[in-house]
Amino acid sequence: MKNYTNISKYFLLLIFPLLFIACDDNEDDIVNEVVAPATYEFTRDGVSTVSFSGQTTRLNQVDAIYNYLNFKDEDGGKPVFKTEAELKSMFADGDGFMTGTLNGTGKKVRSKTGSGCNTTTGASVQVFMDNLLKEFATELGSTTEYNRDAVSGTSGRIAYTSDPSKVIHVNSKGHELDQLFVKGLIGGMALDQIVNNYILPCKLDAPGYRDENDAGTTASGKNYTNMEHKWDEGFGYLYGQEPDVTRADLGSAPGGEGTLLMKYFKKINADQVSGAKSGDPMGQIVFDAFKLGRAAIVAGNYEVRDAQANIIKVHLSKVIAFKAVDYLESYMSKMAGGDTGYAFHALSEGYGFIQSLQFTNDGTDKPYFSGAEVDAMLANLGDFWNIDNAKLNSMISTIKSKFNI
Amino acid sequence: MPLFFYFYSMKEIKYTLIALFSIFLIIACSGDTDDDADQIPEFDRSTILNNYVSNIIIPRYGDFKVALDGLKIAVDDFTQTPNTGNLQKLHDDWLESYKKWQHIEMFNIGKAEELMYLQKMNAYPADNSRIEANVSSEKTDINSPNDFTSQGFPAIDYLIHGVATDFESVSNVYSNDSKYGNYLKVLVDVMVKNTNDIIQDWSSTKDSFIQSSGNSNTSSLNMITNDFVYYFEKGLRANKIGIPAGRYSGGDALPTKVEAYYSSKNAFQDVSKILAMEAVTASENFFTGKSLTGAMGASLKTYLDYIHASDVNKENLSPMIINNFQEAKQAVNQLDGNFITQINNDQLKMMNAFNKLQAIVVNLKTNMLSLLSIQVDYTDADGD
Repeated sequence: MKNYTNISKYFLLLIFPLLFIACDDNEDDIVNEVVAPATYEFTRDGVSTVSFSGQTTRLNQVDAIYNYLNFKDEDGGKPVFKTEAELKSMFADGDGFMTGTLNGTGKKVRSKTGSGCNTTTGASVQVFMDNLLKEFATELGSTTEYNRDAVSGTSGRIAYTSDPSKVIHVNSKGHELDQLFVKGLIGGMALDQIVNNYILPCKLDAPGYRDENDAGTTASGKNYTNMEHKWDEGFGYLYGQEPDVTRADLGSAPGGEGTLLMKYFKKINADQVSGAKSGDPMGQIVFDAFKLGRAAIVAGNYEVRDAQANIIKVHLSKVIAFKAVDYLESYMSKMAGGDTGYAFHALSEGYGFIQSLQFTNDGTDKPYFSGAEVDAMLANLGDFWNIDNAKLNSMISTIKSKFNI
Repeated sequence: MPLFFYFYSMKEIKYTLIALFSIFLIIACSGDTDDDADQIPEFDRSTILNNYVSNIIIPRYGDFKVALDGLKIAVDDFTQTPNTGNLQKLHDDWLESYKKWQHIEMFNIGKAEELMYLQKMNAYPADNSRIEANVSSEKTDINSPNDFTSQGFPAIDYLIHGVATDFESVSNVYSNDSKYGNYLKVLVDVMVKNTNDIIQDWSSTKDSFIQSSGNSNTSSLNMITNDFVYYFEKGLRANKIGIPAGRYSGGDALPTKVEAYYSSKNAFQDVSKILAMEAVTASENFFTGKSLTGAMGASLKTYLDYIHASDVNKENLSPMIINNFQEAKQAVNQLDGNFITQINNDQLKMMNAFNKLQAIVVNLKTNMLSLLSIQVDYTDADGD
């Protein structure tokens, strides 16, 4: 009897933690050989090997163009009108910015749009962006268009009814072009460069890279191996505007800087923390995967590296899906409330996120939606003055079921 | 599992099961977000609704209408005979009606919501270039949302304090170009018409409004309370204090966004603080159930008191909120009469007033709504 009591106690002690483990996500134990550091800090001979300044520059370039598409210069002066040539110079040539450090760096946004080594539909998106800048300069290029009221078929302004001091500017189809541009680049550049480029073997395992990395041979004139650097460039497209990437809470508290992927990565993480969105908070998951994957490169363990890359692909792709759904739903609710300005703003964001869906990666190096599937969805958003909610609802359920969200 | 238990005495099984069961209970309860509406003792919500409608909303609208009719006469007189005397009278009547407006801005419900009355009456900052364009094009249809910042009190502020910098030069503008007076008349006519429509609507919907005393998202008390809290958070805390103080622009002060900007800017009269104080008082009156005549009646405060009296384990919130209001009034009162000067000279004092108002928002939105089992029916804007 006495023994049984003890057994019973042990049984309870045993079963208690099991209950919690059962609720946790399974952590694979393939990670045994590689130990990730506490922070994203990697050194060789006491000197940091982490570098992604080129990514920071491109993210800042997009932010600057976004300002101009909001008629603001880089200091916030308003209204400023840029010509098509000026906008294209910034987008394609990395030149003509007011902030000197963004000019002449060799870093360009257009050539990094839809250009991942695993990307197939990139060229059409580059052309889409070119046309968008042209449309902006043509349809909203002077104070006349800036000040007139937009109606179906005519570009101009629309104030929010919910907050009349907020005004958007749209083309003749009701598209708010700055939103199409920047939300399109969240997938087209930031996400694509990570999940279809820098963390994939087609980049990391370029000829000679594995041997160099195994031997610790650094790139010419650098302190990092080529493979280390490629991975960091991927990291930079998410964290490149973070003032301190070495901070210990970078995983649990993403900073949300800028207008690209990080901004929405932070929002989705917060929504997952609060329970408003499904899934474990991705901030820590993605950060840990970047950290462990980078440590795996240092350790020469490429299985661990690729396993972490797959975690990053799936989670970051979900940001796009969550926001695409959010903004389609938001459009319908604002429209039902008679707030055309707010509704068109939301739908413009949705347009860009749907555009971005073709740059997702489901973990097997395939996008969740092909370019053709994306184009079919965008055809439903051709003219905002003439939208069929039934089609939006069907898109929402398709996206939700594909991503299982 | 059954194999494990096979070796145990009944007693052990019992303890084990109790232990397991309590673990499950903890797990099951931790995610429990059910509201506890059915634990709240019976309280006749219609008493609050009756006091709010009969002694606050309808009398306040009536009081506002009198002032607004006065403003209309002043506009007619001034546009007929533009001189400094008539302009001074117009300014006084503008301020008088603007003060009374502070007592009804929060009731963005029913006909008012349908007409987008609040947005047409007090969307600021006014869009001065659009107002000028509307004046010169002699625009009379100002129903587009694009014209919401070109009408109402803020647009009149620009038209009588912003087209020139003293009464005499403003008056001259109207003498020289009758289009200004015409637009002023368009604005005040829309304000009067919408106000009359809403007053008429209240008289026909009053009874059904009071009878809708249940607790659902479309019940009267839920809606009017949400409107009140939203107004306090957005219309008062953010618009009057937070936005100009730079609370939402990374600390960059935005003095051009104060309410009644042109009157302060061109030194006609410092009115931003007068309006803000009026708004805080109006909110306090609504919370405590104080009518236009000063009589006290059933209110959110008496409801909270009732809940605390019925169950002393529930927080005694209303004294805290009353105290919050005292502190907020003190903080607003300490500000310079001219908010532009205040923001330019000592932004922190403005932030302090914001913080005192924020304390009320937390108690109203989080604590009061939870005690009253009222769901928040609005979401914060995404911010992009």
